[in-house]
Amino acid sequence: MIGDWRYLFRFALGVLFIWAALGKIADLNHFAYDVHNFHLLPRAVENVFAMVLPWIELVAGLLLILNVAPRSGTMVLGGLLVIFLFAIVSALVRNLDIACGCFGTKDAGVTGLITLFRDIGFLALAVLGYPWRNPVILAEPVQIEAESPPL
Amino acid sequence: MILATGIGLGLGYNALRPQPLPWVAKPLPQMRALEDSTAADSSSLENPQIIELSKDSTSTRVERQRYDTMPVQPPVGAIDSSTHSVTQVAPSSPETTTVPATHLADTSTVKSTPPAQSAYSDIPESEDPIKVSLAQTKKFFDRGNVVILDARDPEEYAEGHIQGALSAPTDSKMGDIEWLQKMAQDPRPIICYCSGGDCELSIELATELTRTGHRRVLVFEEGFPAWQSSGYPVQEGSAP
Repeated sequence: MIGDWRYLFRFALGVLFIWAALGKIADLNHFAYDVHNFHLLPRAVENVFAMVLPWIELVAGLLLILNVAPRSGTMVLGGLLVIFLFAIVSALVRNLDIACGCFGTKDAGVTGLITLFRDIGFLALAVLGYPWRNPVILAEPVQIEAESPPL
Repeated sequence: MILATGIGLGLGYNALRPQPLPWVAKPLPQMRALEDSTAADSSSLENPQIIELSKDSTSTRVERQRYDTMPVQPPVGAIDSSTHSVTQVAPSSPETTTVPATHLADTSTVKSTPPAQSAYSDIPESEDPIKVSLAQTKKFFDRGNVVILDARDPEEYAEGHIQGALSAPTDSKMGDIEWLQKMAQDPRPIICYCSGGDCELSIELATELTRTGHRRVLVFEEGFPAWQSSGYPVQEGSAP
């Protein structure tokens, strides 16, 4: 399974998310503030979201690197990337001048088109890295002549 | 399984932190505005010409000219570019003292005469920040002895800020307990501002300051754009 070329994409995705998670965990207050700035969640759940999201990223990223449960890990991170994509597009539409916070305090850049394309690129990594099941190649149908049962 | 593990680790880690995030974020306070009586600038009322000019459609331009020519008392923390010193003005005293500009970043080292509490009698003590208008902000600015904090990013601060304001980017100062406690011990009123409009940086910073214990924190919601467009003193340069 390690020799699978898709693992390279999953590995890259795992490293990215571990890096992102550590940046957020290092300054949780700041990340909670970044979450608030998007104005997408009710204020009551913003902090809980900020508490658990980096750890979900960390666990999923580790699993991808270790190649354990690659389907689940890729799906979780792919799902998160779709959510992030929605948040970024939403911020762009509302013309919000806010920091992305995608990589914690290390990512102080304003949420913009670069962030959007970066997220799409990460999503492509998830799609390419997902261990799709090989299509079942059916053999040509063989006509089996029914033998007449022995009398 | 991944989600459950992440949630468990996240909540557990937060609980073990020295200062854990509260599960439910505290809502921003509903700020009340400072009463209008405090906004009335007595010097303006004494000058009928200014009231007359304010009725004109070109009042903004006229006001700007007026403030360009009027003597402006430098606020606390204002930098004198000729001497590279910081001006400290006590409201009850006409004397002006200076301290080296190098001490500006560390507010604890600024040696200013603690003003009498009566100097702030028009600013009520409150557990929540209080909104102030442009006119009120200008009044406090002219009177001096207030701390003006720019809650925006350092880059925006460097491009232009209220003269004498200190850079206090909310992003970094929110978690700086030492700085917050230092500010909370400062007896002077604090005015926070950012970019106006939907910007909440100043409210966030002001809320954090009141939670730390400061009881005279004001928020100038209209922010730097309103200040700048009114032609009031601005300053460029990186953070002190």
